[in-house]
Amino acid sequence: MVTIFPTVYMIYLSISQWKAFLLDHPLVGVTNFVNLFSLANFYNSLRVSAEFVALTVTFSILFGLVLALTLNQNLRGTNVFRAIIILPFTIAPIITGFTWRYLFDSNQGLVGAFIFPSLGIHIGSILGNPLNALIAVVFVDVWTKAPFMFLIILAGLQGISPSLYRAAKIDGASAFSSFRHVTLPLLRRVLIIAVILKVIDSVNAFDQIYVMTRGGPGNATQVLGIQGYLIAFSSYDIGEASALGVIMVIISVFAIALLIRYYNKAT
Amino acid sequence: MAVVAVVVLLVVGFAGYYTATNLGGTNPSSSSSSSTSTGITGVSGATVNLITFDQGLVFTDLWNSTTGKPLAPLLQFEKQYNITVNVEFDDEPTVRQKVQADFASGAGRYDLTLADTANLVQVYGSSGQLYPLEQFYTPSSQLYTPSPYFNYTDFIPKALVACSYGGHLYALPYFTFSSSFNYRMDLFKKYNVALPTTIDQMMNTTLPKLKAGMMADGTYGKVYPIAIRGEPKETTALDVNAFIYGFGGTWFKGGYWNVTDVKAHRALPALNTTAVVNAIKTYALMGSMFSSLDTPTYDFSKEITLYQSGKAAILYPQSVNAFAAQAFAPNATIAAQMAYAPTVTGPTGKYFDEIWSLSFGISKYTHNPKAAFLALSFLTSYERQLNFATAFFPNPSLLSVLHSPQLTQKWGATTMNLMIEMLAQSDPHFIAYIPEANSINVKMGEVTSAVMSGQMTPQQAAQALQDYAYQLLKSDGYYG
Repeated sequence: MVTIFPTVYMIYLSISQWKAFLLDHPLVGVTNFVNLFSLANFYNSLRVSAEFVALTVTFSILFGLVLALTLNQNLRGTNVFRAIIILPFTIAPIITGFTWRYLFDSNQGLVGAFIFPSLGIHIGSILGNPLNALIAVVFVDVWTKAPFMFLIILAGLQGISPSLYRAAKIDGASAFSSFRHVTLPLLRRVLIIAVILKVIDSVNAFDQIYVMTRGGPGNATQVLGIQGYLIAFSSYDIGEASALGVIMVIISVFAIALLIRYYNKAT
Repeated sequence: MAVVAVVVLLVVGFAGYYTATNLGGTNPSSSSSSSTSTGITGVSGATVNLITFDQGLVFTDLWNSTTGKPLAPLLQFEKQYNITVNVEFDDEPTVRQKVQADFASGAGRYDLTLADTANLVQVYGSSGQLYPLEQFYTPSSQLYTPSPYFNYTDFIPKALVACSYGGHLYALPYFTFSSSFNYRMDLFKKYNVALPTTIDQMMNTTLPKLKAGMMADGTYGKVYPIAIRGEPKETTALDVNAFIYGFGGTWFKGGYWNVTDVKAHRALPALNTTAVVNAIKTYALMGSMFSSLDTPTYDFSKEITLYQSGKAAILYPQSVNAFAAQAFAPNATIAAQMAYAPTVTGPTGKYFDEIWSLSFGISKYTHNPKAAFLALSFLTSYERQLNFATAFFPNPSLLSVLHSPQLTQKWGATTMNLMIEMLAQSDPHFIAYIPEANSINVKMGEVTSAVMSGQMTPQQAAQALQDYAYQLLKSDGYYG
């Protein structure tokens, strides 16, 4: 009931004309979807979201994997490093967004005003430039979420029996061969789950980006979540925002279905 | 003594009004020391819930800024009428969401809601979500509530116009501000720059001269000629609209500004005109050529921070942001150099001006509308506004406060006369009063930010805005 009711209600709203300034909320069929598809901003948000999802999923998994491989060893201080690495994931996204926004500030930010210039990196404004802003929100998302991927992958790595590596070593396998022929195949299921979780997270990205850029400059970082927010709470059109919500659910479900299919094949 | 003080206050207020402004005729409002035997029935035992933003800034004389506990004046009011007034503070976007959710559910959680004049008056006034307030001060009305705190004629007439929609008053304003040219005297003197009076002077002389001076002494990049905002939101559009107004532009062909006229004349949007292109171009140039590179994502707090930390020579165009910068400036020396002048004029002679009120309306879902009006009148009364305007910004919504000796003493006669002059020439309908105003403003903010960051040309931005507005209005039935 907790899951189904909001979803059904969102679908109901998506086929209603629900604007804050209208007294009646009649059913209007697919009008909200048609209006949405006629908006140039919708296609922009779709593109930005696709870029954001592709980049954040790739880099989060990649960094998570590298970190997990590095810290899946009985070295001195490993536990301390593990604890430090997961810290960004424990911070609320709003706080993370504000923190990085101020760090990136060209006038007073530690990164934007001091570190970059002192290293001779002159890329102009970080958040005021469309390309830099997109890279910045991707970077911050990866910084926040890679630790979560790290935890999932580390758990997967620790489930692989050390005897398999010993056997591979006896057979003369190099470290890379062990990784390719032992680690990766046995980690595949875990990686697919990690990708599924990250795709859901990235498709629904909102708070961190909104705090950092408000979707700007212009609409350079306006992912679907931000567009939905603007339609709902700036244009006061709950019907059209719900239609966008339905589309986001369809995108997530479609992506997850593909990944689950792949997962089933892998197992 | 109290009576004498009130009389003196009224006399001074009248004198100030007649000598300094052409604002409409008024009578100063009653203060909280007015008679309590007002015969208000049906309010005893009621609870009134208010939601607003700006904690620590508004109603600081009623609720402790930190703990939120009610203070003596509120407790006295509550005791006098046996009603309870609660406040819920949140950040502005959250307040808007909560108000909308409350209206959507019809729960009536909030009796008094934020109804600012840039969009909520239009949105909620048009949909009947707010009570028309006339019925509370019209003696023949069933809801007549003779509040001693309410004096219609003391409100700045233009603020009341801004709070009205379709001929009804839907909100009462707490503070009201317009534009001014806010600048640092020391930097203007240092670079030998004169105050501009026209937008041409500002763009062709003032800003380039400031920039050249800063580049020559190596401070450019640490200090900028101007601080403005450019986040892709309706907030930026509020300022861009002042530019459109200054360039002689309007939202609709024929200059229509309300739903009835726009529909009757099938007036098309006029957002791709030369005036709008010039407005977007000029505003964006200020951000891209003469300010921080981060400006395309700046909100009001960032522009204020830049100015109050001594990193900008001008903060433009809202007076209230400049007063906020001055009031909370960390460096007293910098704050002492902040000054105010008339905003510039455009090619048609119109000022680059806007007017905005933080105002509150009564939810139609309130459980006790009369108690809500009594509380609303108390919250926007003379003493409340005087305390606020004396402590923070000289931007009250009451004429008697605007002309009060306390404000003149605190802010100086020059500044107060400037505020009065700017309000006098402002036009509440510098934006159209249609429910779709906020949607169009969001788009305006977005395209302006895009121009500022080099993603669009001003022409493309204006055309995108025009197309968006036409499509939106057409789907809402404006053109049959």
